[in-house]
Amino acid sequence: MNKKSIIVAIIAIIVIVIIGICIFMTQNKETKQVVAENDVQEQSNNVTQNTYEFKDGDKTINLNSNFAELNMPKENNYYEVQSCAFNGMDKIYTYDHYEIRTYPDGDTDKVASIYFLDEQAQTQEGVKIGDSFETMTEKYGENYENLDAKYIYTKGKTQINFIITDNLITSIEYTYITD
Amino acid sequence: MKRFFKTLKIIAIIIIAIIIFYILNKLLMPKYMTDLVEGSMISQYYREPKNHEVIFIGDCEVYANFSPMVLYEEKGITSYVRGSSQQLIWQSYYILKETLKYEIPKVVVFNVNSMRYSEPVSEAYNRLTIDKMKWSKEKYDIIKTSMLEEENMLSYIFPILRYHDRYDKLTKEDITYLFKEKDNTYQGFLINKNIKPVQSLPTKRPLANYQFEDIDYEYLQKILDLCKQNNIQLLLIKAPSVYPFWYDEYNEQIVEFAQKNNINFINFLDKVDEIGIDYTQDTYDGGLHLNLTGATKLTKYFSEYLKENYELTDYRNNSDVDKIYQEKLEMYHKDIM
Repeated sequence: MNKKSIIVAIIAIIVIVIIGICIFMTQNKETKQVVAENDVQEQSNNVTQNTYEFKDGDKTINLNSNFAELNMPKENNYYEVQSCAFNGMDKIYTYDHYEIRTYPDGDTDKVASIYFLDEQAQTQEGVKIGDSFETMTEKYGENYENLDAKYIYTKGKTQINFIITDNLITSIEYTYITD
Repeated sequence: MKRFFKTLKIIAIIIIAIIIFYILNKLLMPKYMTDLVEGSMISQYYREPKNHEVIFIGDCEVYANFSPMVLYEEKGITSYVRGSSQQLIWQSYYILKETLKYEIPKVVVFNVNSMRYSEPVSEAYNRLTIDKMKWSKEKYDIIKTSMLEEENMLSYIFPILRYHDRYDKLTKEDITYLFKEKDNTYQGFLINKNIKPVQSLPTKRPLANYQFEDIDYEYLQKILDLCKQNNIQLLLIKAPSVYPFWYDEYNEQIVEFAQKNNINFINFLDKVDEIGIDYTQDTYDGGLHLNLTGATKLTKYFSEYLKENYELTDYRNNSDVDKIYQEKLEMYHKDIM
């Protein structure tokens, strides 16, 4: 093997290794994105079966839906949370009986969570603040994850979280699991 | 002889390849010079003269709220803010450990807000704190403790693995700051002159658990031990950010830790009136961070506290140090006009 061949071989190996790593990482990222997009698509096709949803009268508020398209009435209170360094804003809209928090997704704001403010708001399954632990398990079953006083039920990428103090529900929140 | 030159050529080629690889890494890595400048704060410290008697560590609540320029102007105290966005408590520990390789301050001020987080929050925040750190044992440890499941050590060692897809997003900034950096802060203080008053706050929600996690206490203890070993006094603070809420239950735990370990703790949220903070004027984002006027008020108040409670030197009487600071103050006053 002459010296030129050795030099060319070394450069080729280095270039191939760099390109290979880059391609591998790009493909890996793209695969994850496709899987995530498929998940979201699948969920939007089967919204009633695979997600928790909240209803305020006739209005259905789905987690991860475009907030602007919900045509919500004027909020009582509004707060923006700018992260320490990033340009995106989390927005919190307070209504009479619940609070909606959105997260930025490109140019749109999507519903990240719905938090109940009082016993006037209730879940689709009829649970409200002030109900007992037994009411919760009667309506949602025993298949929950328990972290301290928090009980979490998960459907697809949506969750409903209850905080129980002295056997009574003191907090109810729907949350969307973002990637 | 022929064989020798052959080997030499091969070595030369390998060196050139390494240099190209190094430049590509540098080129593709975000520079954090004109956008997301928070990512450049950690490295600015390396260029500073190391003569600080007070070092701040913590999250955005330190770099937005405390101005070392005001501390110097008011009391001649030399200080530096080694803060970064969403700096987690183990990151504060390793940053302090790294800082102590360069200098031993008299007082370390740690903002306790990060006690509420017990796991890494996002890769983006990790990058802002870690990317620009110099390579050291501390950098390795900070990566190891901060990485999310989907991250890997290699992408921190070779940033090209993480940022290769920036090749079509490169801007003039990437060329201008390929081998140099500019200072975006005044000794770690990031100026923000905007005003966005606190008009309302979201509902203060009950939490399922207010107890700080073991990992937070572990690193708080490590910070304290590190300070003790180096004869440094640790001062705990909570900056006066009105959101996210600092719960009474959080505060009680810090008070207990401070009392048990005989160290000072100031919750500036209890001193807002005394300091004179007006949340209709002194914040740039509805109460999360103070703006320039708020930070100036807070730092003036803090300078009194530091002077009264710690034996700090008034460097305004030291002509060498004062000369450096006067030059900086001149620029600072131009910037804040």
